[in-house]
Amino acid sequence: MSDTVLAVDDLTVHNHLDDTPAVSGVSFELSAGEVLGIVGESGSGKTITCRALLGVLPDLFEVTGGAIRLLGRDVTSLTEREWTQLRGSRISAVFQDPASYLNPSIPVGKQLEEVLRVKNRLRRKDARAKAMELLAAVHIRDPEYVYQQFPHELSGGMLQRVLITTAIAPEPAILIADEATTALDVTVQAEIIDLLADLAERLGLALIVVSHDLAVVAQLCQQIIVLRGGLVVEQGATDQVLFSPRHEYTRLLLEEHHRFGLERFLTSTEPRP
Amino acid sequence: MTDIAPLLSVEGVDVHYGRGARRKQAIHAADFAIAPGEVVGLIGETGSGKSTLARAIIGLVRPEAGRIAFHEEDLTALTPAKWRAFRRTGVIQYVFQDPLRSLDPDMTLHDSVAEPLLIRGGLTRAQITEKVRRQFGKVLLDETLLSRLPGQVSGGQRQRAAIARALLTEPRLLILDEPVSALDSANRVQILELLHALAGPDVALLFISHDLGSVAGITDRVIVLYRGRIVEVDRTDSIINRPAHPYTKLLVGSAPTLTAGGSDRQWRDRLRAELGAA
Repeated sequence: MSDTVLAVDDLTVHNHLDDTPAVSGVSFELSAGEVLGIVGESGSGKTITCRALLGVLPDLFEVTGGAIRLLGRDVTSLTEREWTQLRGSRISAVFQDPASYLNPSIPVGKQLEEVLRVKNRLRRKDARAKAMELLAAVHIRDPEYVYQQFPHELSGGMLQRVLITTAIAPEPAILIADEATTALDVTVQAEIIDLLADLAERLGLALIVVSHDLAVVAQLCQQIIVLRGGLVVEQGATDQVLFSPRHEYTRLLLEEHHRFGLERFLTSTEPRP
Repeated sequence: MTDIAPLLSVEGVDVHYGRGARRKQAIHAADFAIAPGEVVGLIGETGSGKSTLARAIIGLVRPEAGRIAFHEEDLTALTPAKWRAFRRTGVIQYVFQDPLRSLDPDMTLHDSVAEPLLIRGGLTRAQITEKVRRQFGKVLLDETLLSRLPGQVSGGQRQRAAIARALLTEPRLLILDEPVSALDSANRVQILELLHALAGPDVALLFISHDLGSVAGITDRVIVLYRGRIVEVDRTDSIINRPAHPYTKLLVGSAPTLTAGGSDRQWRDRLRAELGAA
């Protein structure tokens, strides 16, 4: 397994605020180009897991057990300075509500350029050219135009595209997408999912896709972890989780789709229309 | 589509917003009907005009052209006073996405739910409380929650209280605007099941959603709205298996399903290009 980019072994995060474990016993391995899905509801510990992986746990939360090996290096005891070098460069993330991660008074292209200058150490002119190239690579039709827009002038889907571009600009090995498509229209959500799949394939980017919706995760992932109350209730290959779930909770998540989703109308053997 | 007189008919409805140079047409010549007891989905993306259309049905915006009739009574011809009288009957009810906004934070669930009956009048306090209790039973809410404030119960319980309130006047049409989008899976399943059980010959449901995949299983028919125009109306299984309009195709193809959709990527890209060019 020489291409393992992230190995998490029995991760435990403790919540000192009410002295309870926030997450316990999370283990997985992720290779380049591979996609892992983490499914769970608010309070399941999925965001805390991501924040532990990014080294940005909130105050009073602490990794108290297990190991996180990022590109072969144990990162559980890194200093803040060491994290600053890794975060963004080797492991990056995008979240729900992209507008809140951008400065409202600076054109989005400038903000992308800033990342390229700081993280990639490019000069102003080179950074601008690279920004255009990257915006085109995420299928933005008119990069020049989008570059000059302020966040409020762009749609949620377009902003998320810009944030994904910003996140992958320093060419990280791993990208975490935490509910990155949640607030979007279904058709736009599919665009972003397609983009993420394309990035994993084309760049060999390893992805962690976090969602409350099992079906969103099923579109992309080879393996799935279902979290509930900070515990792993189900883990396995996507097909196994979807078609022979072991835990009652996973069955409930599937039941919703089978009863109220498109599934009951689609004949599974036929391709989509 | 049926021989039965429609419960609601919307004929050639145009809705505009704004004035002068900023005037914009939100709805273009909308035409559809809902039969008594039918469950219909009104599906479209943000800004497609689905909430505007629903607001026109309940008289919150006035159509510029066309006719909206409920039980063959022309609602578009009602005077403001007649509209108020019509609303008091509670035959059309509306449930919003976020019950925290539609329930008064300073009123107990009992008082919020009882309000439509107080407005309609004619019942004693005891009779009203009895009806509210029974309604709580129907939506599977524990009676001990009656004295709680909206902020003291869960999101699912709040949405059930909002549904209980909407049902109290025995409406013939219940309009639900993204009723489960703000809830987690367990609550979504429960609310959808509850609504599925409620639908029957006496009450028709109009589900408004941006996500066909989240409500398909509960609907008989689907209306697809795209940029202010109804582009397709059909039975749910036909819409899903034989969509005609490019937007409907993209909508169906974009809904996440449990069978991986990765192989559909090129197909979706072609549809996006087709829609983008139009």
